[in-house]
Amino acid sequence: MNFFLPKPIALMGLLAIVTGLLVMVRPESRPTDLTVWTFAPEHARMYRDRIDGRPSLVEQYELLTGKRVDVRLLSANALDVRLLSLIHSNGRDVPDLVEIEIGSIGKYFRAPMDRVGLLPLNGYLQQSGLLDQIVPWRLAPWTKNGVLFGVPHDVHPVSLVYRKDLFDEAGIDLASAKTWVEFHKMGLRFQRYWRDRGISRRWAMELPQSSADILRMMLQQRRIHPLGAGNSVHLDEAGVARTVLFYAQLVAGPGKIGEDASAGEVGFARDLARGELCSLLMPDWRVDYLREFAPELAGKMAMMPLPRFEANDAPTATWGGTMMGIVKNSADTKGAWELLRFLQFSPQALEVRRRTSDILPPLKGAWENSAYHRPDAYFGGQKIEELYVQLAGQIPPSYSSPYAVLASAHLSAVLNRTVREVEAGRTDGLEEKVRVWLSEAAGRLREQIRFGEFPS
Amino acid sequence: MSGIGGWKWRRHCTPYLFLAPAGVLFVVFLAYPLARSAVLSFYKSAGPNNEVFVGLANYSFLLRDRYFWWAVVNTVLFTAGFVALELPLALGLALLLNHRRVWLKNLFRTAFFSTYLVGQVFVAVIFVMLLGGRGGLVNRMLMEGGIVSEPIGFLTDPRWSMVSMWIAALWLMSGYGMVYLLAALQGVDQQLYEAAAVDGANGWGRLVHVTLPGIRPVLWFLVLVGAIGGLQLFELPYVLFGGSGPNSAGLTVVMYLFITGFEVGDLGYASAIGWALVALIGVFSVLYLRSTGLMREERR
Repeated sequence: MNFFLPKPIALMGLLAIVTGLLVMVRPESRPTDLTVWTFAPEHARMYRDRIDGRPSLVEQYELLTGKRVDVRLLSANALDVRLLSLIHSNGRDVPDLVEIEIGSIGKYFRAPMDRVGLLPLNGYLQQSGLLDQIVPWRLAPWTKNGVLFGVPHDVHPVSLVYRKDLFDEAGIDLASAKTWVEFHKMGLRFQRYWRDRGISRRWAMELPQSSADILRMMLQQRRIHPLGAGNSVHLDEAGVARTVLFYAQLVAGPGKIGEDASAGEVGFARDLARGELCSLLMPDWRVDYLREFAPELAGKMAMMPLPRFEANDAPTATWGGTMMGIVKNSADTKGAWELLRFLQFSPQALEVRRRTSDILPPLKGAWENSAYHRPDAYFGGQKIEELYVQLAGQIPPSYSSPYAVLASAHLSAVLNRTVREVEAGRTDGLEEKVRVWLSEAAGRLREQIRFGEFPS
Repeated sequence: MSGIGGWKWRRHCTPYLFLAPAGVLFVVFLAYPLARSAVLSFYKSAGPNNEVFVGLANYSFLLRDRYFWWAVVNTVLFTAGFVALELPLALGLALLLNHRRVWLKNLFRTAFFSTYLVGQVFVAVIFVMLLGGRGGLVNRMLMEGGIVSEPIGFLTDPRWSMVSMWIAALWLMSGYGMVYLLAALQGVDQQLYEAAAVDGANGWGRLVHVTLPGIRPVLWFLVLVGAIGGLQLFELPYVLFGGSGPNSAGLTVVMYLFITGFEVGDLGYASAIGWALVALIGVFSVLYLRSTGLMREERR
């Protein structure tokens, strides 16, 4: 019998056999008792890397309990899609612990309470006494109808950092600016000083023109949340229009004192180093990037609380956040809780965090550690962690919602319209127009939420 | 089973057995998800275990959802501009590379086509670096050259968003169109050019009366493929703007579907958006095929 096998088919067959054999002889991955999924490389390093030759947190836990732990790093989108698919399909092959970012948690809460897919932690936190130690307002984003589904990993207070050397040279004491209006005036004076000396591309602050990220923090300082607890819409609340208009005048027209940072997560650090953007909002997680990507600024930087609009406003806000939760289908929820406690709140974990990052833990008691009260050479000897500790106690609450992305789009749209008006010099009666636009946007957002909410 | 019966059975079944792997893959990964999404579009959903039948509510909300229509306008505008710019550009490149006096044709052909191979995400990352604000290469050059005093907000000013998307998409796709048109140009009967020259036709006349009619089917094909690709646009603006862009100027229908399904978590409404897009592409394709006569040619 003649058997004709063309070369390409033979080659494909050979490849299939070889790869099949390779898969078969591949060593089995280490069996584990507990699996952790995280999206943040910094967190993964914190859990599984050795520091100064000492065992990593995971290794320490394994030694203590005899349980084997696997920490897996996934991209944030991949983690979300895979975890939601597993939860929706009632899958058993789920991680025991997961870290979820504050912008993503809302969609996990869309389902009715009993189908959320994460384990309620109120009881665990109460019994362990942690509930009294964690900053209470930081629990809100991870809570649905009073049930807590995650433990905060951070607090993320926001300060303002600036190029002290350049402001000093211009004869401006920026730290004395207690209000945003004073800050604005100083920013204009600063730019005038440098423009008179031929430097026209030096701006006082990083302020995006089209995104509402910093505007949202200014509103948060005023305790206004475009989307508050229980998906309540506050876009049309008194004070929003005035803040939007003020912000638009910071980024456009004759009063412009800021511009967008360069592209990329660390573009801001290069802008600061080049002296193009001379101050910016700085949550504690951003400090690590600053030190790493702008080391030449050591000794030239200073930090201050955020200026306010009114005396009652908070001198800070919060930017970003992560929780760690237990997946309901975990085969060992008790073990998962013990691991969660160890990775987040054990003395060993707090020590690793102090040594590897500037991120403040959410435990009030931990802030008393001397490490958070030391002078920092990068900031000219200023005790920046101490400032973060002071600010952390004053952060207004923040909330999570699946509709946050839509609220942000509505706010950005109004901001953009306002910026165009300011650019064109059409500022007469603009605040009233902004109020109308915000009211329309709030109406549309309410309609979207009403339509989108899952019937309970 | 033995003898003639067995042979007949094998003869009948063998083709189906060969088709079976592709058939199974088609059913599992295409037909079932399509059918499932069609069903899902009539439900309010927070996952397969949490579904409530809502009839046509998703579709009726779609009709009055401003964001959806904003996305449709953006998508159609992008598609129209992209196709209108891509064809002349690709044709120009193809004509240049088809010219007998051009050297290193293979090198240029490969270079122009290579942009298509890297994909939308990679191109978007490159263009973030090129078109960024103060740090962007284009703005740096413009400012250093004294052409502008302040950086142009290619990625942050809604007035520039569509232009940025067109530029990046043209860089990505022109080489693809060029390859098709080059092949078509090489298939045009050379005797027609000679006859036209004898009749006194100049370069423009030969292009309009010989070249374009000769490559017409490929041109129509590129319009159709470009339009369908444009209507499905997602990765390019999503990476370029890190989301829907300033004032949602980069919001496309597929991006709105993604936001609704994977950020808001409403898979039912996202499915309805998906089917609305299918209808949009279907209507466009049928109208296009009828208006260009391609459907009639196919029937003949």
